[in-house]
Amino acid sequence: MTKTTIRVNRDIQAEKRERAAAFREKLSRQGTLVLNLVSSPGTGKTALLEATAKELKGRLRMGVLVGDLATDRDAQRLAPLVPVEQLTTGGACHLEISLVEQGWQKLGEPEFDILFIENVGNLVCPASHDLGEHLRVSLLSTTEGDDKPGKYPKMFRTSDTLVLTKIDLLPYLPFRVEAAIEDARLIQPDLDIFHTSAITTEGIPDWCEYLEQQRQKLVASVQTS
Amino acid sequence: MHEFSLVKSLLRQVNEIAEQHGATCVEEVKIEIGPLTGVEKILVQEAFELLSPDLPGSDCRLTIIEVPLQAICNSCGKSIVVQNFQFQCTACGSSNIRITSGDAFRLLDVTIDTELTTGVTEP
Repeated sequence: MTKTTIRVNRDIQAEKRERAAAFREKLSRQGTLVLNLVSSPGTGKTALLEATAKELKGRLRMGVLVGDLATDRDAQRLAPLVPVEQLTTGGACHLEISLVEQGWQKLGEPEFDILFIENVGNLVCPASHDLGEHLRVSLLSTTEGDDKPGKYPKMFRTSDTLVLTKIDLLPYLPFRVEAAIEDARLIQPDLDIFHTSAITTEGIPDWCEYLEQQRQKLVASVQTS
Repeated sequence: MHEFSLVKSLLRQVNEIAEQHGATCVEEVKIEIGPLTGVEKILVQEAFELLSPDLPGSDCRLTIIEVPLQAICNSCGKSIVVQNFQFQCTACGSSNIRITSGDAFRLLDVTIDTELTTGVTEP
């Protein structure tokens, strides 16, 4: 017997990251902006997508991949509004690029302007997995408390955008908007922030305008490269 | 909770390496994690204990190296340690910093035993 130490020094997720990068590259070339929506359960990811689909109707072609541990309830909610495919993880706490690739194929790989990936409701595990998105969007609802960003630093650090949801409930809650934003900006100073209510639709037009701008930016960057 | 799937992925890569090198036994796996890796050390250890009997040999040891969250300031160029997830340069106060370590799950090295087939005897 002889003993050998083999030096590897590699990120164990390197291969998955490369797959995610290839997916991002492919969708960039066809002009599809990919967003990964992450939050706690019940923050209102599906409600935000419903409101977004109504606002963007006739302006942008959008599709949704929606992840949950079980049931296709979210897909049923969204189906009357947009092409949607449910990704059922069967217990896994996050989505991975392989599930996204499968869902994308099941949708028929259409040339959307925007593809939303609604992640499993969880502020921990999804932070560690690149799904080939151009933008990671964290949602934070007024009913969750304003101290969340500091408690889940990885999620907010790896996000590009923060959408505050359920702001119509602010008069009834102790949620301090400024404290939440300050906490989030300490972790990620470059966050683009939106204040929304899917019920009153407050802030939804600004959010959708942002989506259009981001999509135009992507198309312009692909054309120049 | 995703430690289990990460350790599974780790072991798949260790197995590939063991196979490539004709290992009869994997003695030690050394990994690096940090504050922003998003895993809990104890849960990684537990997942490893559950899953590592699938490796060649038995009693494979997992060594976990914990590194601090380090960054380079894009404004002043200084190398800093990020404390308490305060993502600001401790020298100039800039928040324009780039994380250099402590956010990944790295496989550092794998120590294996191989059967000698070349006729060379051990000293």
